[in-house]
Amino acid sequence: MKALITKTMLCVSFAALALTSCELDQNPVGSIREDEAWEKVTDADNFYIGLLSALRGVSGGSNVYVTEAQADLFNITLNASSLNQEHKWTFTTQQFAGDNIWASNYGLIGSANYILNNIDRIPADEDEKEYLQTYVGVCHMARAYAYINMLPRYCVNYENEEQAATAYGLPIVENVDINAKPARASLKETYEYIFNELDLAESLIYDEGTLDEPGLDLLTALRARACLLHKDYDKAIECCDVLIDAYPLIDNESNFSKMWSDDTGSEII
Amino acid sequence: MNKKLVLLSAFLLMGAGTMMAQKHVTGHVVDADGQPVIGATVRVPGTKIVTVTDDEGNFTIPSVPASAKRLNVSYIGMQTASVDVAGNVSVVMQEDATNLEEAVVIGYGTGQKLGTVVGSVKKVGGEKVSGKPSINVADALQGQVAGVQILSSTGDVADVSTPTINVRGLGSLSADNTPLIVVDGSPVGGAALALLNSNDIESVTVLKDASATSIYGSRAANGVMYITTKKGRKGDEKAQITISQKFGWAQLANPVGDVMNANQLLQFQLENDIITMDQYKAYKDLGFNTDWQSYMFDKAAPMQTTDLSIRGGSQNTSYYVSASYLKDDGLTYDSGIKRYTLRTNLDSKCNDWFAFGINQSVTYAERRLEGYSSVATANSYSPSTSSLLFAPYWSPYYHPEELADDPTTQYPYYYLSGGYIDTKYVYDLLARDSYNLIYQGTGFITLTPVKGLTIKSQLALYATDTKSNSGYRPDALGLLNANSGDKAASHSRSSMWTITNTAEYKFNIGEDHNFALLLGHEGIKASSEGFSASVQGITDDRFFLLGQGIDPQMPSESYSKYEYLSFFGRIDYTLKNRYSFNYTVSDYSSSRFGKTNRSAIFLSGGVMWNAKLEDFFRDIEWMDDLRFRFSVGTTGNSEIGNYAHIGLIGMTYYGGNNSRTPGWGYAQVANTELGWEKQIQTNVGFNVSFLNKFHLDFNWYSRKTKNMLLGTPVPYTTGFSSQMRNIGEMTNRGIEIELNVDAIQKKDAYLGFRFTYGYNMNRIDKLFYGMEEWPMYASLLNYKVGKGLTYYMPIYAGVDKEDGAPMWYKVGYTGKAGHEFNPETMTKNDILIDELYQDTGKKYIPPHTGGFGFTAMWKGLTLNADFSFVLGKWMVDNGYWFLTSNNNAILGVNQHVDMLDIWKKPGDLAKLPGFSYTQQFDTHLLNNASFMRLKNLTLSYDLPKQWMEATGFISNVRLNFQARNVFTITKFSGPDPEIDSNITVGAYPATRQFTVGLEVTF
Repeated sequence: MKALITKTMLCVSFAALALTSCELDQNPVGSIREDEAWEKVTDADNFYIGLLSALRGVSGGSNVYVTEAQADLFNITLNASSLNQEHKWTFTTQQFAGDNIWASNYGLIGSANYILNNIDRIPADEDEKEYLQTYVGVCHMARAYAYINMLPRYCVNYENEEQAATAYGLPIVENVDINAKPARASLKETYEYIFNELDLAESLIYDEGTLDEPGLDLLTALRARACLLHKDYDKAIECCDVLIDAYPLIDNESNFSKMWSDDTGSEII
Repeated sequence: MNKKLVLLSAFLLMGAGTMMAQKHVTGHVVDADGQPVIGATVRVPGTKIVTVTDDEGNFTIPSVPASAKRLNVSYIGMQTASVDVAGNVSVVMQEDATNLEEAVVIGYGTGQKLGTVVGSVKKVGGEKVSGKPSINVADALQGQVAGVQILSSTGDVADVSTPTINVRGLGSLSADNTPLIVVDGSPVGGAALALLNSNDIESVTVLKDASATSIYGSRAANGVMYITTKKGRKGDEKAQITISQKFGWAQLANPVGDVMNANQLLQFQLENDIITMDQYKAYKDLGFNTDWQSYMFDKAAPMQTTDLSIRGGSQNTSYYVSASYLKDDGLTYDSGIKRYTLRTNLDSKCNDWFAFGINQSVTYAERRLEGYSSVATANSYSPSTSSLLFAPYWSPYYHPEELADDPTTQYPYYYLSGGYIDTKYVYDLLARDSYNLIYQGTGFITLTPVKGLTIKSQLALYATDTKSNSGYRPDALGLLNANSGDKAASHSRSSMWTITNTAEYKFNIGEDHNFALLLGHEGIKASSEGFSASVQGITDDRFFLLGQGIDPQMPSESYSKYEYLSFFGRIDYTLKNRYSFNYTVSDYSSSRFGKTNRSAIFLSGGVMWNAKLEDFFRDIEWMDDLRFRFSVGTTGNSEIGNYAHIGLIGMTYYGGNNSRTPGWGYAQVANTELGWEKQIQTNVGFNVSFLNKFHLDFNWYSRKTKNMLLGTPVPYTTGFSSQMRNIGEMTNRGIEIELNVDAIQKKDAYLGFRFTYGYNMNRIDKLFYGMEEWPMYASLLNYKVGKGLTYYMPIYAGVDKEDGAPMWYKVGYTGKAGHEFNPETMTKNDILIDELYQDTGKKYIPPHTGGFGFTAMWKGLTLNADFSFVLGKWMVDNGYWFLTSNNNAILGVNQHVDMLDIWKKPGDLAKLPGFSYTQQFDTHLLNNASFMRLKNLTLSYDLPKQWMEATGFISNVRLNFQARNVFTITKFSGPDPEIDSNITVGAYPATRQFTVGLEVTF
């Protein structure tokens, strides 16, 4: 009898232990592990779309609340619950996107850096490598775009080379490193970096681009802005002229009124 | 003649026989140590005769029928003794090992008697938490256990979110601080506290220190709340059937705010050019003075509950079955909860080595939330916000025929002036229902092959299924800025399986050495999933299903899983019944951490000295009990997301809703070193009892959290904003005092007082990057090293009596709010208000928590009152800002009565600045939210026993009356001081409830 009981006990305990085959390595459903993410060329396509989404993100939403509510021909009603304080210029820097522009632009830089750091992980042949280089070009352009967004908000105006050599610019970040604490480069170095990035991008991008995809035209527009901030007025005018010719304004009455009443415009600028 | 004599003598004999057939029985009941057993139940089986032993263990039964041969004596924790009927009986009761679970369970194993537990535990009896007006069990525990702080943040009965429960302070800044809640050995989620039937609860035991909790490993760092449900009774006794019915009503516990009435507001608005003279006259003529609080919140919202429970058993099997129905209407229009519960607990000892049990409960609840209330958002549709902002000269019943004829320019009746909407009209058009189905079950097998060895294998499941829908019907067109109706529906499901195997061996060496060894292992598998879908463009109220909207939105889905594995062991050793030692060691692994630090070992050790049993204390008659205890141990916390250690790529979208292209983005950086948050807790305490009347329990504790799981902010230049890391250290130190005084203890009269108090000092010892403080402007809080979580705001210096401008102290200065401007220490420059933020020194976590109360019993009448208090609590009243702000006043909304006393001319000593100045978020909004509440008042009456015996089948009838949150003493300016939040504005305030009930036991 006792032997039977002992056997039962042993069986039960072994069975019980077997029932708890624990899987302590859990992976989420709906996400990809970072170490499995760069395996084929289509992975780069997907990351590129992610970059486009980040580019769009820094151009709208809370990044532009303050500029739109304060400076556009935009008037709110007395009872409006949002954008009230921005419109009346009665907000503090703690509210409404003081941090947001910095955070989202460095997020864009992070997305671009991530692609630049990892695109070589993909096993690719010669043709595919060339194809991937366009993505590299857009990444450089995106980085330049982010710095151009942040310069007028977080740095003093550029006066001349001497002043820029000693004034504070922005931290230059080229790798994704969660432990990095970069210092601010000088204003002069920041501008040099921006123009360098624009030149690199120009050498790698081939088409003009469309409404949904960045291309050479966007590059020219960015160069115009950077030159304006850098007080290279002649170069800025030169870039603008190219674009003004390529993207004309509306020139007939009915399209013009439709643009305001139906929001169907063909004007890009 | 002879026959008559024979008959007569036969009669006489028979008479004598029947007289002698009733026996007078007395008896004395003691336990194995020779101590009298007080309150043991003595029954005569086969009859309804029952009595109870008195203070000395004696009992008397005046008339035991001759047919009765035996008496059954029973007592919790003891084996039922059965003795022959005699004139005088002597009963010795033996301890019952398997029934000890009713004594106290301190973490696996078969439990221990409360008096020999080394760790710091507190057991609260079921009668304190069951059948209370609030459906949430935790609410009834407020103020009952020293060191445990419980705060409810909503009065909405349909809201089943877990109240804040902090045991011995705040252990972690980012990880969850709720204690582990276990029901009959099965860990459950917080919603169980509201959705399990509180009448099923036998007791709630709170395990506070490391010695008691270390063996639980994960989440043990926050303490453990162990709920034991009622079980049946073994033995040849009849079953106990109880039916109870309660009716009640609820109202606001405190007024929502102190705002102006119609005359005051009209005057104020005229003076400050908010309305014209014509409008003033027109409103005055209409003469409305609406009390919006009464309009929005019902003064007597009804509730009712019906409970049925059956409890009984035979020699080897016992059962407890209960069912209940609860319907509770919320204070706001068309809201409330309906809850159905069913529980079956079954326990059987099949033969002398095999026993099993199954305890299951199912709950189904239909809930309709208020819809717009939230603790920190000022939603103008939320009744607690709108009842304060709506002007009293508006009326919800005023419907002018022609808008143009209405000089007050009021809109259609559901619109009030200024674009505000009467939410009562809107509620009818909203869908906002939730349905919860909860299953909680435990099944176990116990084997006792040899004496002293118990092997137990248990499987537990806690599963929830929730469905909810929301949206509004097209008739809300134009009201809520909507173009048409919309509908959203969601469904989620979760399950937590726990398998526990333990082997416990109890043995003695000689008389003096008692050992209990426990070895065990446990595995937990939990998963949750859900999805939701919504559409816009619903065109007709009657076509209100998801497929009937023209504009479908992108659905969403989630899935998440985690697992735990642990091995543990415990040694309990008692020497000479007075020196107890307890050691535990456990190894826990969690899927939430990376391979490097996935598992951790937790240890604890404790010792208790029962000094009363020493020779030199034994003779002191006036001291009944003296015990000292000391314990130290480590526990762990892992309450973070399930995948925080893995580097992850997530999905983003490029393009609008109609033409989205999916892209990938780097969403989370890996932290392979992520591991357990560890805590070392030391506990020193003593228990002392005097004169059988005074019982004092004192503890000093120190909790040191290391490797704190903290969402560490990282510089934005990395492209991310934070990462979960083990960084930082925190200390919680404090004392706990519990004092119980049994002032009067007579046979049918009792008066007792109770006082509990806990003091907790919370301090952050180390942050990230070597920083001394980390201010968070958005939440007005500061992590301050050396202090704790404090408020971070500009310090208000009052109003300058010369020009009515608000003043603030410069950084580095502080003081009271006054009326004199001191240019050295103060400034009036509100453009630079951001530079004026500084540490206010006021802590977020209140240091003093406690409660006190009394219980009085006389014959069948019982009166019980429980107060609870929290002192040193501070909270920012955002609602006050809306009510004293000229920005809002010009929109035409109502304001606080304090606005009548703003600064108007030089020389005025005012509390608030002149009308032309903008109010800022400074310390004039940081108010003292300390409070004391009469939490529970119970008056019950048991009908006299003689009446019960007369009916023959009813054994008890009890009438009771209960009240919750009867009154509150507080200085807080907002609607409810109890809310646990740094900032409060739109919360659903606490309610006051009354119930009247009848309970019949057969």
